[in-house]
Amino acid sequence: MSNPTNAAPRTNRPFFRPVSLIAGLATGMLGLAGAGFLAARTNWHTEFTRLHPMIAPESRYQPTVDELLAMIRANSSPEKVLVIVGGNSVLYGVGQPAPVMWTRSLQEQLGPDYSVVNLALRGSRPTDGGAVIAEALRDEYPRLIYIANVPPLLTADAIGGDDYRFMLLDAYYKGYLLPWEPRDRSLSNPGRVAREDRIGAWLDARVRYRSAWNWWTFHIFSTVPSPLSVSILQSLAARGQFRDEETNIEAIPFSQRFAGASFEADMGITRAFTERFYDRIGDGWQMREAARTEFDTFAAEAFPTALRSRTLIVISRNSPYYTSRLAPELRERDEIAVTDSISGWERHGYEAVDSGTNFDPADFGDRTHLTASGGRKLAVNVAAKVREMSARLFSNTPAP
Amino acid sequence: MMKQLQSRLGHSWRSLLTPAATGVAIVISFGAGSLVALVLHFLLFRLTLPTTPFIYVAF
Repeated sequence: MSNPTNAAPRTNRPFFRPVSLIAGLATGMLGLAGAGFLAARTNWHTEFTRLHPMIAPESRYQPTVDELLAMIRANSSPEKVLVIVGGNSVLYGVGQPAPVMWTRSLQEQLGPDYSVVNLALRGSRPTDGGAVIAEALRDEYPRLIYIANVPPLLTADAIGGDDYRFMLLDAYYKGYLLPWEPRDRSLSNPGRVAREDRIGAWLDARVRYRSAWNWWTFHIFSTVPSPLSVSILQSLAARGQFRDEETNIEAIPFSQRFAGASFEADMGITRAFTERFYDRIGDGWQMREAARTEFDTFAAEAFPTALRSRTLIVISRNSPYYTSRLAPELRERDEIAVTDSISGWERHGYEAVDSGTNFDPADFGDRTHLTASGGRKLAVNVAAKVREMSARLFSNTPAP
Repeated sequence: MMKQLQSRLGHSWRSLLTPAATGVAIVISFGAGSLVALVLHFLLFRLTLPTTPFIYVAF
């Protein structure tokens, strides 16, 4: 039997030291948050053309507001007029390879005093993505114009669509946005925005997990497989390896572009394009009161009042391949809808412009998307309006 | 074996740890905490991505 006086006191102390463990946890989290903060301030999109699918939600990559701000800061001087292009696939330039995309033509049209950045996203609304970035840069780039597109008499929800709302929440919880009651109300409504999405964005604003892991995904390897890739290795490859490889729709012969089963479906959409907004009264068209109310309600809430005069809404049209086959009264209704849309947006303090009436069928790749030749025409039409806005808004605004 | 040794000595083997070994335990605990932070940070990133990818098709 051992002598109890010589025995060391019995201890059940665990191997892991709680204080050290917690200190490691806190230090690790702080270090990773710091890495995220640093990554967010670095421009890693050095070959940026536009938000192609491998750096967009289609491949499960969610660009942060900070990484896009860093990209713009690296490429655009505040001394220039910054033109941020948002909107959907039409302004993204689906069917136009990067070297001939319409925003390159817009840059050429506007000249070196302007800096054009294409932040349009496929399937997005006017208040998504690009709009968020433009609002975040409103003070840093006092000479800024935001461009988005929308079909006639459609407007935009203040909180955009579900697929790109992560950017709005990102900017909101990082304090980049103006107070805007309709938007703030919708964002705090659990029926509109899931609670977990808000908590996630709130946490990200504090520990910057998205910036840190996006950096990793872009430079090292993707921790989230891309559903767009054909092999496992490719799906996990660093996103920085991928280039903007947009299909060239002009490579498809014109005779094959509009053929096939989609013709009747697209013709049906073209016939009904503005149907729900108007009643036929005698020989003319009258806008329905419900349509006017809906338009006014959304247009009044879509963007903060202070940003509207520098927001240009481009009213998109269908391909003349389809509209030329419409009955004359339907073509007349579409024309009225374009005119009513422009006056409607202007009534609420925005700028608006028709995408153009000088397009040929060959300027379209399908019912809505433009080819490179159509893109060049769009650039000419939009550039005229941008120059006019710039002269009116910024002639007395000194460069910072 | 350990139990026999422990019963012979009358105290836990951990009490035999030298100050150096205690330092090792602290360092390993700190490292484990950092590793947990790394996993948590990544999980926050991974779990806040949408479960279904956004699919866009044109042409």
